[in-house]
Amino acid sequence: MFVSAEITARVRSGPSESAPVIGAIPRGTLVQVIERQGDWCKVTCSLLASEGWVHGTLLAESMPAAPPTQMPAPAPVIAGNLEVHFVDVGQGDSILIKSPEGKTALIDGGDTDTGIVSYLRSQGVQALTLVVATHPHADHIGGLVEVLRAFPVDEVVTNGVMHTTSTYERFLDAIADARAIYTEAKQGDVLQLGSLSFHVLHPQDPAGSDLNDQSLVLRLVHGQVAFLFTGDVQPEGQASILGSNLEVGADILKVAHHGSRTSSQSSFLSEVEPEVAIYSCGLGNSYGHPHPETIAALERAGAAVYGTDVNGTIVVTSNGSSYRVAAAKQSQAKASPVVPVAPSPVPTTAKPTAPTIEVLSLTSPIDHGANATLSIKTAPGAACTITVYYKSGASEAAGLGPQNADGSGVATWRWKVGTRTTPGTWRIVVTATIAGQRTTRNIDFEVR
Amino acid sequence: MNTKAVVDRFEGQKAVILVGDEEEQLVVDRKKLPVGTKEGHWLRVEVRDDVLIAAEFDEAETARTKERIAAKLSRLRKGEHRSC
Repeated sequence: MFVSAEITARVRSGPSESAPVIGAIPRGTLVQVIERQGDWCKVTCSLLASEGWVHGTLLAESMPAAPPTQMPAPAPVIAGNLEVHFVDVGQGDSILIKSPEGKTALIDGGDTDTGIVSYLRSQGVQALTLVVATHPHADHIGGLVEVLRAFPVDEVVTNGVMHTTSTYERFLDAIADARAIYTEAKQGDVLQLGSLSFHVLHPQDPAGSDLNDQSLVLRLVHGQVAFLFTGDVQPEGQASILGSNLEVGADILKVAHHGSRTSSQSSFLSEVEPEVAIYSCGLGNSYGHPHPETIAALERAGAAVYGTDVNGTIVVTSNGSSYRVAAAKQSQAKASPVVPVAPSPVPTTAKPTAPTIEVLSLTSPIDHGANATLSIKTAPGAACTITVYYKSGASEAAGLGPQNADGSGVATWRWKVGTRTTPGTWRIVVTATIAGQRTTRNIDFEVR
Repeated sequence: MNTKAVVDRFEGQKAVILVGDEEEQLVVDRKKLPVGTKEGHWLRVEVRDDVLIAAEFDEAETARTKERIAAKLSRLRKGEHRSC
C-alpha cells in the first residue's frame, strides 16, 4: 500500500485517534500492512523505527499522483537525521539540536545545577556551535553558565533584554570568559546551524517589562518537518507573532512557558497546527505547571502531548520527510479524575479504602545547604502533597509542589535545605488522595 | 534584614526570589513582597528556615547592579571581550 494522505499520514501507537502519534510518513511512501482492525491498518516501513497504526483512508493500493495542492518546493535536505532533544532538566527548559552534519545547538540550559552538562557529555557533545538564551530567567539561563564553562561555544544568541539578577550577571561573565561571539536576534533574523536555518519569529522589538513575553521564538524547518520553539512567550507575544504573517505552522511545538495556563492561546494553536506538543517542567513544581486547561487545549487541537515531567527526556528524530518521537519514559494513562463519593443513603459493604503511604527513601540526616529527596509509594495516580515544617513555618523552597503518583504509585520530591535552616529534627507531612479518600503521613527528618 | 535577594521572576501569584550569594530559590506569595516589586528588584530580606519573614526594597543595590550589568552587556555588544 502507498500513503495517499495529502502531505503526511500520522502514525499512532494504537488503532485509535486518541492513541499517541509516534511518527508521520509522507505521501507516496510504500508501506506494508501487517494487521487490520476496523478502519485502521498496522503498518511498517523503512521510515519507521517500529510498527504503528495508520487510518485506512490515508492509504491506497496504487502510487498516488502528484499532490493535489500546490506544494512549496521543499528545502534541500542534507542526508542524515536531525535530532531534537527536549532534555529533562526538572523545572526549566533545555533543548539540544544535532544537525545532520553533526553540528550542535542548545536552546536554554535549564536552571542552575540541573544536569545539562552531564546530559550533553552523555550525548557525545564536545563543542556547541550555537547557544540560544530565549530570555534571561534563571530556569532558562542558569544551566547555560555551566555549559559555557564546560564546552567551547562559538556563538551565544539572546533577545538582548537585560535582567539584574546575579544569575544573569554570571551568564554575561561566562560569555565574556568563553570569548564567544555575542549576538542579539529579533523578528526576521535567521540563525544558521550548518545546513539548518532557524527563523526568528519574535520579539519584533524587545520592549516592555514582561521578560517572558519577549522570549526568542524560533522556527526550524528540516525538509518537510517543522519545529517551533517558543520559550516562555505569553498571549500578547503570540498575538504579535500571528500579526506578523510569518509562517508559524509546525509539526512539533515546544509548548510555551512550561504548559502554564496562558501558554497556548487557541488562536495560536489553530495556526501552528501541531501534531506533537512537548512541554518542559519538573514534577512537583511549585507553579501548577502544566495547567490542565492547556493540556486539554493541546489535545483538542489534535496534538499528541508529551512532557518532560512525566516522559523524561524526549527525542524527536527527523529525516526531512518524516519524524519519530522517543520518550525516556512512557507516560501513564491519566489517572481518572477524583470524583467526590456521594454519600449513599444505604451503607454499602465495600467502602473505598484510603491509600497507604510507604517511604521508599529519604535523605536524613542531611546537612543544611544540601539537596534533599523524598520518595514515597502510594496508590498509582494518587494526588500527593508535601509540606516541610521548620521552626519558622512551612518551607518555601522550590520543588515542594503537589504531584500525581506515577503508574507504579511512586512520587518523588527534590528540594534544597537552605543554608539558613536551623539544625534539628523537622516534620514532613505527606498526603495522598484517591477517589475522595485521603491519607496523611508524618515523617521526621534531621537537619545537621 | 541582613541578607540580599533578587526577584528572578513572577509565576502567577508567586514570586521566585534568589537569596544570598548561594542564589537559593524561594517561591513566595507575591503579597509577601513590598508593593510595587518588579522582576529584577533587589531586596533586603530576613529568611529563616527557608521561610521569608520580611522584605524591603534595596534601591541602592538595584541601581548599582543595573549599572554594573549594563556595562558588562555593553562590552559584549561591542565585542570587546573578544579583542585582546
